Amino acid sequence: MPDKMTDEILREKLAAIQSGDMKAFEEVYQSLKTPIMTVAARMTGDRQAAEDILQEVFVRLYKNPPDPKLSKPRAYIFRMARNLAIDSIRSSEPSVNIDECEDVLVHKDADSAEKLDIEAALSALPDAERQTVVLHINGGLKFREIAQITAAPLGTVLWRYNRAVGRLRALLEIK
Amino acid sequence: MKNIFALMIAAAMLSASVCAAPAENEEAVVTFVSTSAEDEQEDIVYDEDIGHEEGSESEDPVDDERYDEPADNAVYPTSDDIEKYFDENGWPENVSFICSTGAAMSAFDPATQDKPDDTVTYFWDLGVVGSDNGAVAQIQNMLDLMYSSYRHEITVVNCTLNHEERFDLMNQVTSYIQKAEPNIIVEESFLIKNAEEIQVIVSVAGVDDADEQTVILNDLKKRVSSEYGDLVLIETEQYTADDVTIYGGVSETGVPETEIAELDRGGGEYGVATNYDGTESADDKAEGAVTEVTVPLTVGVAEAITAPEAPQNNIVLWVCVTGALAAALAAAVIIYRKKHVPVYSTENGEITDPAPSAKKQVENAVKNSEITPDDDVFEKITRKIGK
Repeated sequence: MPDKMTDEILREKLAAIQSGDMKAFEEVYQSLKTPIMTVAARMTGDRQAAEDILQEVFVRLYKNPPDPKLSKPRAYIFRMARNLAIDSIRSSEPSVNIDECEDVLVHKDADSAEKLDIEAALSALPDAERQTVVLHINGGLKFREIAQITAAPLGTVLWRYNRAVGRLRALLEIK
Repeated sequence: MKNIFALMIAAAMLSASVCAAPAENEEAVVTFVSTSAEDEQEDIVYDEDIGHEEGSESEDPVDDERYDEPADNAVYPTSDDIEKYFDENGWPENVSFICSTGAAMSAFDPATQDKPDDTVTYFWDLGVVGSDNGAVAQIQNMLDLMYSSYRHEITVVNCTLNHEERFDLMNQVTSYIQKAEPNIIVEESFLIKNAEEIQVIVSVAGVDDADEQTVILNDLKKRVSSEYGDLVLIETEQYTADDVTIYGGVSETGVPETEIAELDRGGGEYGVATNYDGTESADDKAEGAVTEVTVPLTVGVAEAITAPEAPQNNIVLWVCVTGALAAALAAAVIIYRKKHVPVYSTENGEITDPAPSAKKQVENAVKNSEITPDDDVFEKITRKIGK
């Protein structure tokens, strides 16, 4: 798995993308494809919708790259993905439910039973809590950035996160 | 534990000081006043930083009324809660430590005739690397949001290492000490709560001679100081082993130090008394004449040692038991508040981390179960953008 791309490097890559650098574009994709896919899949509960969101995010990034001087480019990209996921949820019911088709979200190279447990536990969370958890853990965003993206007070974000982790702990029976 | 801290905070309001003396390099006092809910919202939204995504929904579709929102009005501010949060979520880049130093209520001000308004102010020491106002502002926001019922006054202390660097330094020093001197045992290492320094408690093993122990410890302190500077405090724990030899010393009288067990108790034991003649002689005005005389000591019979009578009054026993329990409770609280970090080491001095917390396990489980897209997604994207 590639290392997390810092905001500074991301800014450089976005500047390169603005001048049509496909190599930089692919590097950004390789770095962000899994976090964005995970966040989108866990928000929508639909792998196909998540892949569509992933494609849309990168098409927009290439065609309308944000200002390279943006101070929080990673948060900007995840804000875009999150908003697309919300649009997707609103526009249609999930075509494939995680509970009905458990294997769609499972890695080929990982412990399937554990992953199913985690996906089931995550899907049992309230939407706002699940969103906070995946944006922080999978998206790598700071709580302050999540507060900005979700337009919620920082204290509420912190509270949601701690409560969600507590619920997950109980659901996963981690002592 | 919350109740204990609430009691301690109440005590702190009286004493106005929980932590030790402030560091020498204390600088400015920055006062932050908690804001209203609307203000908090304004404070944390920096849209110009993130930028707007046009044509997308920004409203959260989730019905938040289904969940109970946090009621933090009843929460007493403690540095432990802040530290715990940072330990679990990562410390801010330029923050070294944060320590609650007490609290106070507003009082009548005779100069301005201001009446007390029941405002409780909590005082904090915040160790910051460099002059990072962003880190201070971040803590300000956290305190204001997490404990919005109170006013917070922060004293900034300049530091050179952030919290993560201090932790790394502690591990390095612990490993260094264990390798540097085989007779030194590291009992405990921890980050000092209200200052930048780290503390290492050591003891000397395998050396009976107290002077030799002192030499080893002093040598260790010099080596650690030259290697790591003044940020590392080496302390010792005094302990008594079963076979410790107790020495009696009368060296000023000219008698060499002798083990008490070897004193001749059979009789005929002599001591040496020193008489000092302070009068000045005509020949030597500077020094007094010293003469020694030998005085026979009286040999006596020791009284039989009997066990003391059991206390008649049980109140004494209860006082002792209660005192011991209170001391144990206080020790537990102090250890918790000082945030001792357990360090485990192998025989070759390598440091091993303690088992991850349940929260960390949950986070790792969610992190390690990421979902990867199919391999052809990038091709689809390149087709869409016409490349």
